[in-house]
Amino acid sequence: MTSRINLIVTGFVGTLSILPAAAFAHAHLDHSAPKAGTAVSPAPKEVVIWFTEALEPKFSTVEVRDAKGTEVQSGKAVLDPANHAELRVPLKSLPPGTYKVIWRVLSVDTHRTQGDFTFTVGR
Amino acid sequence: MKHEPVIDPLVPVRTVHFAATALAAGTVSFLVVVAEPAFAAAGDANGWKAFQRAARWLAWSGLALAAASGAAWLIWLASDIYGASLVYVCVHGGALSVLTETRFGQVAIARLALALLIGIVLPWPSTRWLQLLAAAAFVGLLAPIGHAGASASDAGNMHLGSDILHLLGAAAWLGALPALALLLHLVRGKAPAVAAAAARRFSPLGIASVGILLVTGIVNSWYLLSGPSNLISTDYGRLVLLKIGMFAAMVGIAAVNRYRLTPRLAAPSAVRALERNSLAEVCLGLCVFLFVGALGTMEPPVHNHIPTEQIPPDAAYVHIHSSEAMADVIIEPGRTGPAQAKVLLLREDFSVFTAQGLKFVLTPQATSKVASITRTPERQPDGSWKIDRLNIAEPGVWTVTLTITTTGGSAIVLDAPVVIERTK
Repeated sequence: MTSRINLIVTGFVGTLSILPAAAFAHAHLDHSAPKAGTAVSPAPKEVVIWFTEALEPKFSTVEVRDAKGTEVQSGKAVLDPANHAELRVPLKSLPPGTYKVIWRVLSVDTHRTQGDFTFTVGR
Repeated sequence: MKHEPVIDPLVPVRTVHFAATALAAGTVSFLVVVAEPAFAAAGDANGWKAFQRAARWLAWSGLALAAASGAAWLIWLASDIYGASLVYVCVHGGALSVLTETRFGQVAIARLALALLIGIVLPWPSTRWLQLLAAAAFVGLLAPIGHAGASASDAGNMHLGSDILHLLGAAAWLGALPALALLLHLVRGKAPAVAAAAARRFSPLGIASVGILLVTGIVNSWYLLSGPSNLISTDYGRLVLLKIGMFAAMVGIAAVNRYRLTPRLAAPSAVRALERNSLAEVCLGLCVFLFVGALGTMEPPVHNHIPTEQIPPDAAYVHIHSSEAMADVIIEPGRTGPAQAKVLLLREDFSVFTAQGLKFVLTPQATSKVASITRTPERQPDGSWKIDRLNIAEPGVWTVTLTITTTGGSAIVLDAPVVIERTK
């Protein structure tokens, strides 16, 4: 009986040892408007990001910063009611320059992800 | 120096929660669908009362364990979201915020209400259909907070439906096994007619559950894996493969129970063997729940498999993902002999990761006598990296290791297995 228990315990511990040590992220940026790395003119009034999974609005944020690091969004990021994977953030009037969009989101299956991309507003 | 935990703490918490949920719901289903009719058919009213009492404790234990592990899951999640300690999120309202303002929390509240309802009405057999319905909802509501519930597309509804059925199948079979073992233990040597009737009634339930698990398992894999090769080439796929192996072993034991032991249940030795086999299935079932606990914390390959260019049909392809960088590696042809490779380095938003340098190493299995292949790839105008004149000496699972030198001078190492086939 003892050897059988040992066998079960060894098997269970062995199984544990092959499991992953860390969780991975899930909701990725699918595409955005303006597109990552592009130059646009005239200046956009909002940044829209489409993700690969539905998001939790309370725990999903988007910041847009100019070259000096000043935030240029004019309100909070909101989810599109018809598409819970689409996040919109309104912008102030943007002068020409390069802007960095920093997103941090929580998908509804409770995984956190973050990332950033830049776009340029032309003259 | 920061140490990574040996295992993600969420894995054991999820494992206990899934197993406890299945135990509670499976025991309720066993009481209604199997035990009550089996004792009635054998005319054993006293035996039914004794079993009911014992089985209720089994179900209550499952409900209590599910509630406790569910609370632990919520607190751990709040701690992860807020980047604060477990105590801090409990005291300062972070856990409450996650409970009331996320789908996970709202589902947790609904499931807690269902658990209380089941726990309260359990002693009244006249509420059996309410118990069954509540137990099904208690299990099925796990699906919307998992991978299947996170899909943003309409196709996600099909995945969600399949996942709900998968969970119900698992609860009806795996979750009912402890109750079956308990019944066999209580009636062994006293009421062989009850044992035989219970085994006969459990058998179609088990077969139906196995069928549902097989079909929905394939449907779920369709959504979560990019192809059969993912079963070998990704951590997620290998864990799915192990889960399938455990499932196959359980089906094997169930077949012995059905075709060898059930016809002989008049003998106490056969009842004892069936009880023992049921407990063995419970152990394998716990391993399955351990894998389920881990799979939910991992990234399914379909999430990260976004090839940025057309992959030739005879190429070996692997996508490597880390929090710092991602890489698509294409070895063409993916067979022994002369080949060339292409590497695309990406950031998490799929823009090109600009690196200062890259080292490419292809290592055979540890038992192989073939030497590793080390190359310094050439950067191409489109931002990808090219490796010419590879000569892959043998087939098998090789490990591709990329050492990326960032523009800041630091190094990022990515590695993953890639399958090389034999040239025909």
